[in-house]
This record gives sequence, C-alpha cells and structure tokens, in this order.
Amino acid sequence: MPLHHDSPLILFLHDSFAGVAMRGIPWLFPSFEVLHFFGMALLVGAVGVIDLRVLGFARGLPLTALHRFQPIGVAGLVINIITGIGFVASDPLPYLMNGVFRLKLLLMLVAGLNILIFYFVLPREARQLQTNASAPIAARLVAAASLLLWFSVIWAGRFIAFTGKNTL
Amino acid sequence: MAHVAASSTLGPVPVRSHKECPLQALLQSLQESQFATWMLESSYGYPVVLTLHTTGLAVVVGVMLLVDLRVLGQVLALPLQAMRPLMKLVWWAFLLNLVTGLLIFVSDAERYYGSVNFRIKISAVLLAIALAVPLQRYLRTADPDAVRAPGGVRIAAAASIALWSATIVSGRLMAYF
Repeated sequence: MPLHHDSPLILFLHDSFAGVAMRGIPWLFPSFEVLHFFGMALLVGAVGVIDLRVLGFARGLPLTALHRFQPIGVAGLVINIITGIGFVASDPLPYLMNGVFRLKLLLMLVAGLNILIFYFVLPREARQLQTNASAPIAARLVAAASLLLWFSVIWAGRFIAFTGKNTL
Repeated sequence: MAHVAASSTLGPVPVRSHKECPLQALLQSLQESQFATWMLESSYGYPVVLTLHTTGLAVVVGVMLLVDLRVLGQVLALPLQAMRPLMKLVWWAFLLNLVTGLLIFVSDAERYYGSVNFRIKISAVLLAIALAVPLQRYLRTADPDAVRAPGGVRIAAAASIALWSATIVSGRLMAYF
C-alpha cells in the first residue's frame, strides 16, 4: 500500500487533533512514551502470568482468581492503543511506511484473535483451572502463542525506531 | 586570529589528568573499549541489547506489580505461598536487565554517568530491589489465613509500585536529559 504526503489517510492523521497536539505540546510526546512503557508492563504482567499459569507455571495459583488481574492487562492495552495513535498521528508517513510497524500491527491483530479464541472458542474448563489443575493441550497452545505474540509485539515496537527514518 | 592570540596569553587549556580523577578515567576507558565501539557502530548490537532490556523491564515491573497488589490485599483468592514462583520470574528478568543495563551503560558511560535521570533510575532500582527481598520473605513466611498484611509490609508493597514506576519514568526520560 503506497502512501504519500498527500494521501487522505496521512492527511487525516496528520491534521487530526491528536497529530496537532503531539507536535504542538513539547512535553506530550515524552509523556506518551513513558505511558506506553507503563502500558506494556501492565499488559505483559497480567496476560503473561495468566499464560504461564495455563502452561503449568505456578500451579498453586487458581486461574479463576488470576483472571481478576485481567482489567490490568486491558488497561495496559487501552493506554498503549491511545498513546500509539498519538505517536503515529504526530508524523504518520514514516510510521505507516515502516515495514516493522506494519508487522507490529499484524502481530497485535493475531494476538487479539488469539485472546478471542481463549475466551470464546476453548471450553470453559480451560479458563477455570483450580489450584494444581492442568490445562488441556489446546489451551496450552493458545497460551504459548499469546506469550510469543505479545513479546514479538514488544520486539517489533523497539525495532521501529531502528529501521525507519523519523520514527521513535 | 584573535582567539589564537588570546589562547597564547592564557596558555594551553589545562587538562585534568587521569590520575586526578580515576572515575573519569574509568568511564572514558569503558566507552573507548572495543565493546563500546561495537555497541554503537554495529547495526544490531545496541538495538538487540535495548530490546532485551525492554523485555526484562516489562516482566520485572508487570509481574512485581501483581505481587505488590496481592500483598496490598487485592485478589485474596490467590494464596501468598503460591505467588512465590512469580518472584523467581522477577529475579531472572532483573538479572537480564542488570546485564543488559551494564552493557548499555558501558557503551556511553560518561553521558549516562552525568545524566540526572540515570542517577534517579539507579537509586530507584536499588531501593526497589531492597524492598523485593523482604516482600519475597513475606510471601514465604506469612500466615496463609491472614487477610491483611502487617502495616510495614503493605508500605513496602506500595513503595515498590512507586519505585518501579519511577524507574520507568526516569529510564524513558534518559533519552531526553
């Protein structure tokens, strides 16, 4: 998908409120970076520990109770989508033309579908492991994929800064 | 040629010798090392090390937050004893970040040493680690039926959240000043 400085999507993002604010307020971009790191830690902490428990780590933790930490992961994801849109809107073309950025979006999409599989496709028992209970193999596969996908999202995110021009 | 004349009357600019300031000499020799040059000049040295450091950060802060919240009385259905494997995860991730952090420091030692945010970050990390030890001991020794942790332990858990947050803020802002 070739994009140019005057492509409608680029113009829309660039001239949006988010784009204008990110360029116009000097402390906003650094603050969003800090928040993006917080969001990452929240997401990895909550989702990662749930995934590890499904994989058989820390079996003494009942999965039903562990799921109460889920809002933390959701909060992290929401923070990072908002701040992420801010980064892109500040200077859309270099991000949207960056292959690693596109890969990150794809990985997030697959990670999101993977979560839907965990909650809507797998049998209910997979989500309600009691103390010391083992998860069925299908649930383990989904959990392993989740860990791999979310860490790949971090790795891709980090490499956006090193592969593109004018991307942070 | 005015500045030449001026410098000739003032004499050569005094250079502090390495003997006068051993720390400066150490920082300089670190960042002039072959490793530091490789980190800064190779196309994957710095990116890979920084990516590993970010991965460790997410695990340390994210998992420690869950432990701290449990100690503060959230999700009591999680047995304290059963939280102990999470601390093992935190320590391994911290080890990763100790190593990668040292590598990043060495690559540009003088700049990091002089950075206010670097000093704040290291202070916060040391304090947070100092709190992780008693918090881990509490997971091991606490009465499994206790609903509320003792006041001191709860203060330690709250301070742990604040200190790891400070680590993220100062670490991220090191890129700016």
